[in-house]
Amino acid sequence: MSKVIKQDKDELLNVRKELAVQKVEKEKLAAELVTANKELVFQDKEKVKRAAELGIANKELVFEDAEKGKRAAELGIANIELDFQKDEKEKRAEELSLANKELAYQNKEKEKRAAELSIANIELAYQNDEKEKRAEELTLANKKLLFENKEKEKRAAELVVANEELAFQNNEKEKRAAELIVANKELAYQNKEKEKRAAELSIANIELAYQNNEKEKRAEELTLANKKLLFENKEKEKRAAELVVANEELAFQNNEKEKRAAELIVANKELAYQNKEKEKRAAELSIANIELAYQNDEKEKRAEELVTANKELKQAEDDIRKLNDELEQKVIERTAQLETANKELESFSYSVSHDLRAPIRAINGYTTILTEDYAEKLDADGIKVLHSILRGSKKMGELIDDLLAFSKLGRKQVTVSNINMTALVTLVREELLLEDGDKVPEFKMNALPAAKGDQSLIKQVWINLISNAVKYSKYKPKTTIEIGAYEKKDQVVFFVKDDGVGFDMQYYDKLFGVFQRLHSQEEFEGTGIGLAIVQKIVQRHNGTVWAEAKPDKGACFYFSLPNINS
Amino acid sequence: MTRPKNIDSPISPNIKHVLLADDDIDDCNFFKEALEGYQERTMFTIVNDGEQLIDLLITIEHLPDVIFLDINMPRKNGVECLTEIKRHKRLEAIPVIIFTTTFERGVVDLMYQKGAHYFICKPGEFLQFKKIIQQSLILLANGEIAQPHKEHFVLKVANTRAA
Repeated sequence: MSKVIKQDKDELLNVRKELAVQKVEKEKLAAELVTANKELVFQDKEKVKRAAELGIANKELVFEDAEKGKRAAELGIANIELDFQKDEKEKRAEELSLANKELAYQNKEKEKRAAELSIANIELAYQNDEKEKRAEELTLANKKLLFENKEKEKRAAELVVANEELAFQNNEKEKRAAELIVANKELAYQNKEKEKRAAELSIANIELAYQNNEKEKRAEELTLANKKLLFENKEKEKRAAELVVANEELAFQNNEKEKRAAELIVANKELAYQNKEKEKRAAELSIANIELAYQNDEKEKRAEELVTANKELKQAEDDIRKLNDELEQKVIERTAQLETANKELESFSYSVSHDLRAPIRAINGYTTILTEDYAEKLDADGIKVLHSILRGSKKMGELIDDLLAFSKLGRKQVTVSNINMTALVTLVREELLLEDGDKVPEFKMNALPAAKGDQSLIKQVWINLISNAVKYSKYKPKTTIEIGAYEKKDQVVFFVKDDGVGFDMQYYDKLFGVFQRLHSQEEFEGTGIGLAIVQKIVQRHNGTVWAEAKPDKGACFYFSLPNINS
Repeated sequence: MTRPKNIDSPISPNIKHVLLADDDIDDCNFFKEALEGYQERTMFTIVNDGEQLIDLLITIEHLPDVIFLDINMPRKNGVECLTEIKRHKRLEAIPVIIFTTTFERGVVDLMYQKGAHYFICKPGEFLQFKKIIQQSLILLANGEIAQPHKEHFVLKVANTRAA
């Protein structure tokens, strides 16, 4: 059992003793308190008795006071009597005065006594209070003691538990002790074993001693053998000398080998260093591998993302393609619709103008017959009216023809070939028909390059432009027309320049419009279709037409065509 | 059908009988007017559609010296008539002048191919109308029996106008 447990046990015993002493003390104190309580009860009773006695004494004094009052009344009467009997009474008064003094003194004494009793009462009341206080204090002390007892009982219960714990621990310790005992037994057994071994070793020693003897015997034999060996040694020394030489040889060889070994060591170190380097490298590679593995993962993730992104892109592309297809389809449909509409319009304008020709011809024809065959039956005004009808019908016929020609342009197939422009313009010049009032123009021809286009259509362009130049120069003293060309990128630009009336550039927008005119019919005849036809033809050749002019300073018309190399 | 009418023909004595196939009565009147005074001894016959034309040609004893043929006609049009005439042994030699309001390259080419002699687009102005009829008759009278070269196929009153 350990010391600590013993100490705990002693301490516990001491505590128990202490508790026993405290219990006895408490019981004594409780007994004393009971005695003191009884004493106090007794004193209370005594005080009650004394108070009763004092009550009676007081009543007696009251009664005596009443008696004294009566006596004093009697004395008053006696004094009255005494007034009568003065002499005697004075004597008697003196006696009474003395007696009064005596009574006064007695009263005073009684009052003193009453005051003392009153003080004694107060004193008793105070003492009662004190005793009550003390009783309360004792009651409190009792309660406290009761509480402390309970606490101590609790502590005792706890100690019991602690004791049980200790007892359990003791048991454990005893078990441990038992185990130690077993271990000791084991050790004792082992010691015995060791002693046995020692005994065996002792026997072995004896054996060794015997063997030593044997060895000494053997040593002697060896001495003999040594002598023999000495001889043999000499022989061997000879041999040794020989061997020395051989040894030197070997030493040399050893040196060589050492060198070689040193070299090998160096090589080994080198290898070791290289190994370390390789290990480092391997470690680095391992890290690099991990890094690569990580990067691969990242790349795979990225690749997946890209695949997803690609899919999305593909989807978007498909959508766009779909939309494009739809749009294209729509464009095709719309184009077809527009083409149909265009054809309808063209065939409409064609058939309208075509069908209008017959009635206008009829008007013109019959009016002409009237003027020719019935002129005598009409007066001058009638004939004038007929001429107005003729003029109008002629103009209308021209407009219809022009409209027909213009609407035909849109339907006409453009047959492109290389055009020899110089030859073409020359032909147009030769065929040019001049109207009344036109002057024979003076041409200034520059070299004209060849161009691509529909010969008959381009011929119409030249006819219209040159005719215009002639027409709008008719009020000038001389008609000069310059025709030329220049190349611009893959286009050839041709121009027709005159010094006629020109026009104001502010009306340029109307210049190429159908039936748009910048001059009055009185100034210059025309329907306003010529330049519209020029523009339509040039546009159908993917060319452009434009003009420059100043009023009264002439005009220059340009049109571009693809050159033959484009 | 208008009754044949003998008209004197000082300019073209070879042309004794002119036949016009046209459904437009006005044009027929103008045609008649155009010939008046010039070819008083020339016979002038008018039919108003292709069927009448072919019936007449098949039954007539004296064939016309020239046929003026409109294209747009009811029942049998000018193209069908021309085709039939040029397939008919007795009729194929008669010069046919297309006399129409239409002026389309395709129609012009087709008519030349079918064997027409000349192509006239009826002018809107009566004076020109007259002029071109007389012009064509003079050409024929001057012995142009065979089909002319293509570039002379279309007859026009010389006129180059500009806007």
